[in-house]
Amino acid sequence: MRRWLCLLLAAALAAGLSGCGHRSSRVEVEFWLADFNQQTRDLIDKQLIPRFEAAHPGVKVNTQYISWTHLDEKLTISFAGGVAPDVFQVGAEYVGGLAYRGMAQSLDQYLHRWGAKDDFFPASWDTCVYQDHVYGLPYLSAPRVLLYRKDLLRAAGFDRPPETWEELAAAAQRMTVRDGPVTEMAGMNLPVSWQIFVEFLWENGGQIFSQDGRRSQLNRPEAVEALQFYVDLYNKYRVCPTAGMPQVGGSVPVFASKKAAMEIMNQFGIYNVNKYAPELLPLVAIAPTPKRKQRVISVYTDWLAMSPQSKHKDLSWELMTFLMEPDNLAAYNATLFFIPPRRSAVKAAKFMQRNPQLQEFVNLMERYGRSLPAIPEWFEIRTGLQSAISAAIYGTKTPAQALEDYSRELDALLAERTQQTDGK
Amino acid sequence: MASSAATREERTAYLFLAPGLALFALFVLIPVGAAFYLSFCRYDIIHSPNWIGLANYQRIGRDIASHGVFFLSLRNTAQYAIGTIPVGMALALGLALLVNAGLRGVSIYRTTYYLPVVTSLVAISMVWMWIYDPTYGLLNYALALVSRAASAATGHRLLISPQTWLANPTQAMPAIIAMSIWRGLGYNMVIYLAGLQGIPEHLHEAALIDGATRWQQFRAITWPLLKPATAFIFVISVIGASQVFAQVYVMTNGGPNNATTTIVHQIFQNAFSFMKMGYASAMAFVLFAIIFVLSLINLRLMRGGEVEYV
Repeated sequence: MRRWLCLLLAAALAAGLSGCGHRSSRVEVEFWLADFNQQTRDLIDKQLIPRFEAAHPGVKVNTQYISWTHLDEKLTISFAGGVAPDVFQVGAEYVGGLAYRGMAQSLDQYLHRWGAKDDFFPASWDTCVYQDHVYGLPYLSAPRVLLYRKDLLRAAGFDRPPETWEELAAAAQRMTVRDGPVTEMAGMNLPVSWQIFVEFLWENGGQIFSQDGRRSQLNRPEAVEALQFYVDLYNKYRVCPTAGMPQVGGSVPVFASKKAAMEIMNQFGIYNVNKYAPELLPLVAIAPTPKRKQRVISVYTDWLAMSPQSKHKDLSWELMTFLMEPDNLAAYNATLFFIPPRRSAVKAAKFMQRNPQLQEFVNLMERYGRSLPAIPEWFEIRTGLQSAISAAIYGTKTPAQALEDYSRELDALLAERTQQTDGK
Repeated sequence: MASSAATREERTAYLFLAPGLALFALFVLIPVGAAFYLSFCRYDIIHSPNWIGLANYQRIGRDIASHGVFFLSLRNTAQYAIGTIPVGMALALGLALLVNAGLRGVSIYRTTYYLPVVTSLVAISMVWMWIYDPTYGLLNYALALVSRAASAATGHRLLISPQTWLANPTQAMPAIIAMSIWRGLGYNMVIYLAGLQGIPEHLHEAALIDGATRWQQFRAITWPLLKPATAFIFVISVIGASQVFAQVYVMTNGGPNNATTTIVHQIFQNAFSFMKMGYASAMAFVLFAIIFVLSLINLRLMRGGEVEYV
């Protein structure tokens, strides 16, 4: 009886093994995409991937569409479990963390042979670089500029968009319309966000932390001035949206519902106007965000990374470069209304050529673009920075106090890693 | 002979208990032990844990001393508990008394009030986000109606401006508290209702014959006899409030300005956003200690003084 059982088991095992052997003759590449909609899925599933597979017989690409809300958890778990996707998309704030934790493959060895690097916009490219190594290829980009209403600006007596902080404050005040406590028209639509602060900080010549990533720079005068200006727009000049206006926690964007005269926004500002108030489109123009010491356009780029765990790195690289081909990149960005991060792809993109405003985004990104600094602790820094900024805007701390307090926290946070690496 | 039978019986008992004990060990004991170990480590999930002694607990201490984010989460959690528990219990008792007063269609009321309890908390949070929406929300709409009616009645321009609710640091926590009270009402009510129905009718009848008023009946009979129900609801509510997370995560994600971040929200954020599993585990054990102490106090307060009328 027992012998029979053993035989049966052995047979089952053999069958299972041969099944595995059979499967492995076909190579599978796992690809995770986080920026997508139905159009994107149609493009990827019905056009791009079938073409890639046709050119690579015996290769199957498994594309998985993962929402941003679950991406971090799924990536972490898949890496911890040793089943990470070969190629995956991440956002503008990831390179430091991924590179530091060994969750992204350095692509330096492939890039020598590729030669397309200089075709990408520098700010987008920088998004994928950590400590001089390249960890990915830019897949879509979103530069943030000043969007303004030409008609309202003219009516307020200005013949050109504001170029400095002082002009910005003056124009915003002139265009703000209030009825008692209710703001009817906000001169400047600004969310309470670290992204806006970073923009002002850079324009004022400041940095979040020192070049070597060891010390906070947020207690410097440039940072305090930047936050003071941000807080003043809210509390002194009172040009920002108040409750009851769209998108102050609601759903229709305030600029597109004609409740704001200016805003700092990426190309979705144009998209929203086109969607909710197309008649407004000729009245909307874009300009660089006003400068203080320098002009900076912050650029947010999502990119494709390769897993160091991948068993098919060469093939993964081929998939990445295939998706980066100008026409493919243009088609992908067209489905989502993002700016292709590559010059030849911008030229190949019909939706870009049709829209002069989008062209202007490209010009500004090319001239003044800057990406976020790469550091492993970025997500924690971002959260702390957001708290500090909220505290100043909601008046629980002065800008100087808020930044001083957070600076101390940031120094401690940065010291934690540097001690660890120095110890090694 | 007898003892061997007893041993056999014991063995059989353990055999029957084994599946349950195995599951308990696998999904509760081992993870809790692992978390306790991790609370003394630096651990980012990807790399193996690195022993750092008490550093995580020291960091919590420093955070509390400097009124950092974890301190705020403790304060907010306490605020949430103080905001939800007494009001929630009083309302539940009131409702239970009404429903128990022999109204027609009691089961309909009971079901209606119980519906939010069985509805997904995430779904409820989404619905309440619409109620609190600053532009299209029901609440601001009602506010505008009241404001307009008041202006018309008084002839004065009496404008109550719309509020941002969840986007406002002073209103966000009360908004979450209000929603949570509403949500927990049915559960507490049903427990009170069960308590009320367990009070023998003859006690009230006897009191009535003695000429007791309704208030006197409540004070001398209903309230003392409801003590076990009250104690149960109180303990469960304190534990529940200490662990509040879902509505915070969905509605505000701890903002604005950390006004709604709670202990569990901080644990989640540190573990899964900042990959600081060790620090998060240490926070979890601080939470465990808090709940443990609170439960001990509760037990002490509730012990003794049990009332029984025969």
